[in-house]
Amino acid sequence: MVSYIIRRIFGALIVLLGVSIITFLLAYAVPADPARAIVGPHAPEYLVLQIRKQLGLDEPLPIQYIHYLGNILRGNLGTSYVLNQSVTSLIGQRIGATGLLAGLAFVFELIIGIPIGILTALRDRKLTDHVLSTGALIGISLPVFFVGLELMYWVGFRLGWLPIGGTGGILFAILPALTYAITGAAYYARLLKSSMIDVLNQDYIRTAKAKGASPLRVVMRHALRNALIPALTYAGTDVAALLGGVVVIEDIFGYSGVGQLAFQAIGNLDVPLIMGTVLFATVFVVIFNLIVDILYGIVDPRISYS
Amino acid sequence: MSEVLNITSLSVEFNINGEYYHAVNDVSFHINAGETLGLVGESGCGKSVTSLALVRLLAKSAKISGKALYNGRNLLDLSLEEMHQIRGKQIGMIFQEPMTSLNPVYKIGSQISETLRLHNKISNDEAKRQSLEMLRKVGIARPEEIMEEYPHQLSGGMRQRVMIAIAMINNPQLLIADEPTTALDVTIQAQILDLMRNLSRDFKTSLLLITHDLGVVAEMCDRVAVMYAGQIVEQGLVDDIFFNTNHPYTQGLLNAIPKIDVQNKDRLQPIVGNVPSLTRMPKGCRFATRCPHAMDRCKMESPPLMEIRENHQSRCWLNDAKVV
Amino acid sequence: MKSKKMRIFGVVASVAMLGTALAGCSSQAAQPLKTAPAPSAAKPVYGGSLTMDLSSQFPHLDPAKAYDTTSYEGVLQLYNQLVTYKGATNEIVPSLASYTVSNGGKVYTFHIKNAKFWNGDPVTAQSFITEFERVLNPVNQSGGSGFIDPLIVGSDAYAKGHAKTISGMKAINKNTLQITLENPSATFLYVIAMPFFSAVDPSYVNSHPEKYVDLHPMGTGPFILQTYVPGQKYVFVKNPHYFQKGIPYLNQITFNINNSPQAVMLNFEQGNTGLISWNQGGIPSQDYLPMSTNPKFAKDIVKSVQVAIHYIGLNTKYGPTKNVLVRKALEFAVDKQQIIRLLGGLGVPANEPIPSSMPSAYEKTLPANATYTYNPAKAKALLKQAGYPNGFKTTIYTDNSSPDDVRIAEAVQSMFQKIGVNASINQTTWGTFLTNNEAGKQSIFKLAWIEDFPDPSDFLNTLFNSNQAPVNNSTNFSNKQVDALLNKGALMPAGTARNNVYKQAQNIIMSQAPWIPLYYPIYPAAVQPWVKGFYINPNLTDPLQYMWVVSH
Repeated sequence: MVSYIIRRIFGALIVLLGVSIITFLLAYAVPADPARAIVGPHAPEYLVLQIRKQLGLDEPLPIQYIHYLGNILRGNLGTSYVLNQSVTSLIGQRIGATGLLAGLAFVFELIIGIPIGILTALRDRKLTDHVLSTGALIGISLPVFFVGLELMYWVGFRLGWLPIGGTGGILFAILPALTYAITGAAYYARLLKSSMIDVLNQDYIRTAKAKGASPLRVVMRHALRNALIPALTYAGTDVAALLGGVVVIEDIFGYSGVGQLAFQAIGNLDVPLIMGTVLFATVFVVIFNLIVDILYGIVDPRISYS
Repeated sequence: MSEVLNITSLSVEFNINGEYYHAVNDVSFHINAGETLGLVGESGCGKSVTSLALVRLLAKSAKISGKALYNGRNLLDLSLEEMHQIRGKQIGMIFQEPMTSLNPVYKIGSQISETLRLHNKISNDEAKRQSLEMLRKVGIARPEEIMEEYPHQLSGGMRQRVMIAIAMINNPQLLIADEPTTALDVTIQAQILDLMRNLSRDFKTSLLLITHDLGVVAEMCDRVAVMYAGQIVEQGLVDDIFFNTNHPYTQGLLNAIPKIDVQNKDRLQPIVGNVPSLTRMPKGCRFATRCPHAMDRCKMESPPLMEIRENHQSRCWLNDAKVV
Repeated sequence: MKSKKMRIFGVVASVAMLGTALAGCSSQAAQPLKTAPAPSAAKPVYGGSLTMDLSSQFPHLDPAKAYDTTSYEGVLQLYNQLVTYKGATNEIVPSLASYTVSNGGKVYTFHIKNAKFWNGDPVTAQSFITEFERVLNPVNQSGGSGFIDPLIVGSDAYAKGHAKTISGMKAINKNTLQITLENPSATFLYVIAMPFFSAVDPSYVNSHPEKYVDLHPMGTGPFILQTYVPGQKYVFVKNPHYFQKGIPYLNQITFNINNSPQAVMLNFEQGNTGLISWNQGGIPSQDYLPMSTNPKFAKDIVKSVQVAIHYIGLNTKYGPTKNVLVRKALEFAVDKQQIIRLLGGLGVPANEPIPSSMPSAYEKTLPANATYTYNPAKAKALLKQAGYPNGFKTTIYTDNSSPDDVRIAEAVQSMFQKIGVNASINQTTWGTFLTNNEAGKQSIFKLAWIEDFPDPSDFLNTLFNSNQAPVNNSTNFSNKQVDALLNKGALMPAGTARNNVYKQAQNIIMSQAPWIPLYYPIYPAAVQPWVKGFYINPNLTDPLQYMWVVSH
């Protein structure tokens, strides 16, 4: 297990290197002169040149990249052109908020998706199934911003139960997380439904019944854990979508997390901040996948890490 | 001798494209205490459906009629709750597929003790102790380690031993074994059969042994019921079935067994033709299309199960002709 | 400054679509423009607090670096300058200092008032010298350097590291500051009213890294930054020792960071927030109409024409627009009234670069050869004359940070279509757009200019002088006569003669059609009835220090 994790981390480092090169090239493929953007239209030309030099932008691209890489290895992600703060601290200040939102979104997704998946599997092609499946389809089909704004309006504004927007503790994260979950849970529901139907036809389910286990026990203890395995695989691949979704949702709710930071960085062509947020996202995906893989081994003992 | 199980006129119908068809048709048999009954036939003859029907493990869409008296109580009338009490406690079951009959995500120990704990109020430690003991009884070496292992780490024979342990741990009165050795190597088959025989003797358990293998029947059973196309075609003591074979189908099955002691090394004689499908049952005798002795009457009229001697019945018009 | 909002728009959907009480649409502009109210005459109430949604974190709280309206909203409450604007007017009045002018307008002497930084250090002449030096020092990357370099004697030498001090800035004594200019300047007082030139505590800024100063201000302002929870909120509290007696009224201001237009509107509607103004860059455009037509909220809206202009730039050196006949054809093709309707009435049609709200040099009518009234037939004729009887294909460049800009580009696109000019729209992020724009290679682009101070030079000298091409003068407009007039005007004292020079320059510029002036934007703010003392000064952000709240 330990050697497996070490190998995975080593692999992740290679992924990070690749991502950093691609992001770097993309960031520079777009023409933008941050020096002029920083000091504004009235600044004299010599100042613009000097700033370009301060930022190392007068060097050839490969040299810039090597400098950048060197800084990363020293734990320095650079300084945001626009916000004049270290990228590390800017991201650090927002990791908590985004982690909370993403984690809560994932939990809500499972809380909504799993019971629907189980119910529709047990009531396959019956009224409950049709009602819930249609509901899930509507959930998938609704645009995220629509769900977000409706929740904001009804729960935040009309009912006044939760903050309308902004950032703070967990209360501020609930509506954005719910928005993601409503539009994403249907995937888990569908996935779980089909894997549940599949599992319920397995021989070991018959064995469980033959033991005298009640239907509830058969489903919750014997079938669910097996049926969750494909869902877990999906969760691993879904994390990139989760991050992408979180970026949009942060924007809808004015929730200032890493997504908002990335959004602003891209708008301003704040290259160090773009690089920082992309690398953050990569690390997040890699770590999440690693966690999913480890969970996979816990849920499914047939997986071995050797 | 008291009857543990008495099946009367059991029929099972399945819905195929909106119409119901009989998979099991008017099947009756009984098992006495401590007795082993063999239910024999080709695949698809309805023997597994019969066993699943009586413990109510068929899909809800299956229509079941008749009676299945277990110690005088009709299993088909019991509530689900009462069925849960009986399954695993009074009636144990072993299935054909040891490779897939154990839950892949739980340890062997927890799968065995679950059966115990579902039916008995006992502590974790006690359940573990009894499970260990049971594993020893089914002949598993180093049971402590096996308890902590997962099904995928075990061989097929080991898994079937574990299945037997699960089925027998509550000391059931009736054990239903559906092709318990079919998927196993020949040497392992013999061991498992030995084990079942010894256990059922020691535990005084009645055994309903479902198999297509007459060799297994000869070794294990007191009485035999031969099924064909959803019906019992011949039923009797094991000696009568083997040595006073009556029904042409039973004869066909016997001819299909390789024999070492026979002088002429003729090729095996398989039964020609196929089992008729559920949706296209012949009007007369269901075996008529494949029967070497078939007469016109056989194609027109379905023969009843006829008593041809004490404790020996057969469903064949040839017997009627003899009588006549 | 070039129009740019720090705020990034994401998915845009009006609150109206939620079916709120705000819903209800009318394509007409609402009530006639209320002029921004003067500072209230009612008796202020002390105490209380005000909460607002803030569109992003303050990009900068170091006055040397702050150069956007969001930063100004904070910096102007935390710092003071030598002079400032009076109320809602363009009139310069003393702030931290009174002043006298001598030597033909070249020497300014400032008498600094008795004021203290929050840490108790006194404000002295050095407080300003230090800040002017910080602005000029390239290390600080200040956008303010171009306003005083080379205007102040010795500024250029200091900025380039040739001198240790700015020779034109002297502390006569602790409380007297003398600034010597290279030449008289009609705009110098406007310049030093900008937040760049605030008083800073020399011992504080010299003992802390610049990044620290940017996050931890130490000013003289009416409010003190008490807490910043990164990404969440700022809390400002009253400065009890503010040099202006009796100011401020509020005990506390809370800025919650929230850039969701929908959430901002709902928070206001629910009464959670008191103000939607520079904290959000005004009422979000898509929410203005539903709000202004709702009787419940219409009375909360305060509007003012900004000293700013939105225009289509026509490159005089690049693409088909290098032909003046093509440029004139495009001028005649644009229906400005339609664009105003598109904006829900939040604009005044523009026919010239100088905004109508500029105190000087605005012309009600321009000479006939510089006037273009919507006339597609004439536009087509001019195109034919220019050698494009069947029109041509081109691109309109714009940035995507504001939904209005995109809608305007689309409207202009369809107007061009009517005269046979097929334009595609190239829409990029602000950073990319700006870099491309400043390279001067865009034939047609949509851009805006917001004043730095209310003087025609800030528009004409910056945007049409050939020495500003291509960075600010990105149409590459070049005309010797115009250059001469603009250079002359820069050195003239304020007054009619100077205004006439600028009018003359503008007439020549418009006769060459380097821009299609579109409109002067109207800035709308929403103020709760229980929030008092609000007014709009076109040159500053919200007057939070003069505002108070009444019980509600």
